[in-house]
Amino acid sequence: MNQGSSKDLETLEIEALKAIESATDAPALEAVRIGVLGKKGSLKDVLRNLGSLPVEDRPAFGARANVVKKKVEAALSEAKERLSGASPKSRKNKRGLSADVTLPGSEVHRGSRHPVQLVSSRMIRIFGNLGFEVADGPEVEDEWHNFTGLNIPVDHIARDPAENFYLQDDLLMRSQTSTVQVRVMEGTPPPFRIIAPGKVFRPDTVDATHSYMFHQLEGLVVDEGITFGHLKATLLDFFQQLLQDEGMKLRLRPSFFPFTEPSAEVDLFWRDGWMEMGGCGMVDPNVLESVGIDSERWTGFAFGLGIERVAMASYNIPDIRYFTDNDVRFLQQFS
Amino acid sequence: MKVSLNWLQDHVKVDLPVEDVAFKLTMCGLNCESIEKHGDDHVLELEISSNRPDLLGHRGVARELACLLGLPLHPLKLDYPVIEKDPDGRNLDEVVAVVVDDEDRCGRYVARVALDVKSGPSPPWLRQRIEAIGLRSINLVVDLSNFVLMDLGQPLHTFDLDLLEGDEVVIRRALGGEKFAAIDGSDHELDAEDLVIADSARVVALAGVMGGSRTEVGGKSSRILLESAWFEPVPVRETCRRLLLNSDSSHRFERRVDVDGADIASRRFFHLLCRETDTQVLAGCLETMREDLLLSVPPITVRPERVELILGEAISEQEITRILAGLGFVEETEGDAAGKWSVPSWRADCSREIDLIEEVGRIHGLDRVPDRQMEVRTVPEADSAQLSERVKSLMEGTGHHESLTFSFGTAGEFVEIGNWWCAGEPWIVRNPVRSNEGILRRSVLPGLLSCVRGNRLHGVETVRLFEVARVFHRREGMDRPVEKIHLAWVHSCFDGVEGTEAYREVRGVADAVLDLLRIDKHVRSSATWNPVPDDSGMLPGSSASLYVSTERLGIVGAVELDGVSGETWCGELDLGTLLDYAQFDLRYEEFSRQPGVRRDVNIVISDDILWRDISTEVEAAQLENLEDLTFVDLYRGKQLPKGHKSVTFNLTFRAGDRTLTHEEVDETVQGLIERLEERLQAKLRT
Repeated sequence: MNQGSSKDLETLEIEALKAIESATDAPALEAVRIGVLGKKGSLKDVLRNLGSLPVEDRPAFGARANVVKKKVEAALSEAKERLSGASPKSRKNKRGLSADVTLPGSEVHRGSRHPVQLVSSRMIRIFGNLGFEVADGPEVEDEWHNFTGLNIPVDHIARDPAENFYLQDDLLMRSQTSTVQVRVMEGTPPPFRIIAPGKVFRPDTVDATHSYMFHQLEGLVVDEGITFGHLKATLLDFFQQLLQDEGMKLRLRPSFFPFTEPSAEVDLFWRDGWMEMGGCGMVDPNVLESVGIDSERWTGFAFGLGIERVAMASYNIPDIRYFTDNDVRFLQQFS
Repeated sequence: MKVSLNWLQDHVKVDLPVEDVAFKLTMCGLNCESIEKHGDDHVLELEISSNRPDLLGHRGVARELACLLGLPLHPLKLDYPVIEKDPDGRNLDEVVAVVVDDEDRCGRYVARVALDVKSGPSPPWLRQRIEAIGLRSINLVVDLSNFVLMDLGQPLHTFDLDLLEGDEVVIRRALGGEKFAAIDGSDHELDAEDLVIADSARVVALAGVMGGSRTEVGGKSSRILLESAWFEPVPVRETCRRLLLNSDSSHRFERRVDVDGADIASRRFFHLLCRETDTQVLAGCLETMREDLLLSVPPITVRPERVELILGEAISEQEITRILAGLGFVEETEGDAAGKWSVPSWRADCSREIDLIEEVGRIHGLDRVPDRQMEVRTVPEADSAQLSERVKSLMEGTGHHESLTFSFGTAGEFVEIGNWWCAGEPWIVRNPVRSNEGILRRSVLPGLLSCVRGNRLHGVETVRLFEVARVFHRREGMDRPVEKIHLAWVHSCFDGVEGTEAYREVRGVADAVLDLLRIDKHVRSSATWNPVPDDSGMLPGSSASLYVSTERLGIVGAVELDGVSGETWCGELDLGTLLDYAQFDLRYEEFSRQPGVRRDVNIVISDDILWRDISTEVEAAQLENLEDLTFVDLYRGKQLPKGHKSVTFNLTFRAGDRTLTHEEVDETVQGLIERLEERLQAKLRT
């Protein structure tokens, strides 16, 4: 590349811009314009030397000259406006476009988190603050972890093949996250304070409030001296932090689950009425004993909350099927 | 179960508004779902849990209410007049015989016979009671047996004795293929698993489920046989399920009726029948009883301190006694069992101390137990959970919407992506909800791609989705699925970038994830991307798979979606395994503050040579002070020789201790160009 010519262009640009800046009236400005861009202007002068350059350098040099020309033109037009006494507000920007600042910003592609995951993360965070660790277990389980270890007798209706997704004998999609309770207790000695969020599967007929795959958050505490009163306080704390609403109420209504005793439904009063959010209770001594934990010394509570239920209540979503439709127009509302 | 408030009043004198009754029942475990007015009566719809068949009758509910309110339960009248012999001078056992062939299934059978029964219309009180809970009045005999069923929870069955063939009632297994016409008009073919009541000619009832139409008691019957039985729960349930037949009776037998209740209900029926008509009941009853059913659980100790340990509230001994006695438990007073509690026959759900503590808590009110705070404890957040969250945030930040698809796959799920990625036999679901979702998914992509199609067909022009979920693979020697956590993402646009640019976009997501997990830094340069085989199923020439060491851990590329215009790009990573490789420690590395020198290099090279070949060559050249190599552009066009492409890349040089001169960099670059010319037949493009 011919360094000399390139340097000429650079000098030309610097000098022209300096002259434009120092011009104090329109005729002075016009003189600068003619001096640089005119037929006999300095830019033409430099371009006349093009022929002396090696052929391969000519396109690059030409392009560079064009950039200089555009810069000078822009500076001229800006100076012209300045000299015509226009107010600063109406001045155009450097590119010479009149900026309509009321135009919307250009679109930034923003993704979103799924509402079920948003709620799940929030629940994990709140329980984390309450001292619960996250535990995990497989989604395909054997009958021991899904039923036997949870004190569900062999002839119990919950084991019916029609009520579960069996893969083969002794292997099924877990029908509850309580399976993780058993896995945690098998693996380590008490005390425990864990939660296990995850998918569960039941061949229910699909409607606005039922699906055959949904999410639960299981909780388990086993320690010395744990009572139903601790269960109540924990769930109350959790829902207060989750909803941040003085008007919410929680009640534990006696119920029946094979793996807890006493057992209760978790009823939440929020906004317009009572909703069933899940089940809870004191861990049945049979469950503790089946994994070799002395139920006289250790007591505990467990709960299972429906994550979709919480998400539907929190975001005012009327139909559980929306969660798995994955319509972008639904999903993007949670960005 | 529907419960009439007036009917409850027959058992306990409750002086409370119906809403209060409903609330009290709800808060002791009998959830009241609705209250309906029925004339001067109110009907509560109560949800009864499966372990409490004793609450499937008004008396059971009344017992709970009486205990809750501290009120007495009225005694049940069971007496009735009897005659010793029928007009032919026969005793009961000369009139008919009961033969229980299968005691395993029929634990107890109580039969009584009434003569001269005038089964006209029912009196008003009876009609009101049964109509309030939604039953239709038929005639006195049928209505009374329904009344006792709904009062005591014990199913009764009446046979017209004159329509029975022979003088024997046999409780036996059905013969294979035996036919049965039920009272509801349905016809069934039975098998040897079904228990039936039969006369000498044929089946007259399906035990515990439904009577037959042939011996139905009509308005004119004069001699009836009343059956009150205890059938084994599970076989009743199985028969119902198999024949798709259900009844109020089977609902109770399935849940196990009170074994002592059979005789009580029978006597109650005749007490009421004799009160309403001049019926003559033959003295005595025909009865069988399986021995083990006579055994009751040993009396149970209830320690007040254990009650406090479980509930978190001290309940006085008097209160414990009041509650348990109110529910029918009996405190033993003599011998070893003194102070222990005997369980009433209708509470088969109670056999341990904890069961009785639950009863105390339930009646006392679980909701009244004071809140107690647990000790404060802090927990560390797991590294992998944090990283996994950051991966999801990255996906969100790159414009993807997190999705939730089903864990089930369809037989044709790999039509689009081919089964090269995630090959292997799937795990089969025996009873899928949707007939086409019969397997566990091996990849998350098919589900996401089907959402892409759904969205695009609904007019959404740009669809970017991602999901982190488990997939299920088979591994030799493992008798259960290997569950892997996969990250998958898709990008489909009506009018978006195409070709190389689109590939680089979808690949860029994968690279960003690998960067975030510091895979390259940790597993030194062992992460490589290779073109997928042409028969992989993905669009050839546009798809690549990721190998870390020798493991195949990801795929990115293009697929064709039926009915969807434009290009659809997708990727999937075995996130779980990558997380195992991830580097969690963040450590500052000193960097050079000297100015760098950048050079663009534009070469023309054969189409067969991949970027990886070029970058490997650049790396192999071990250029002095080379800090970074970046791909800039790839171009194919007429200006280039046939079978060639133009590749532009950028080299950044920087020394740790000084400013590099242009001359020395130019020299290094020149050396590289010569190397590329020699080894890859590249030509510098001018």
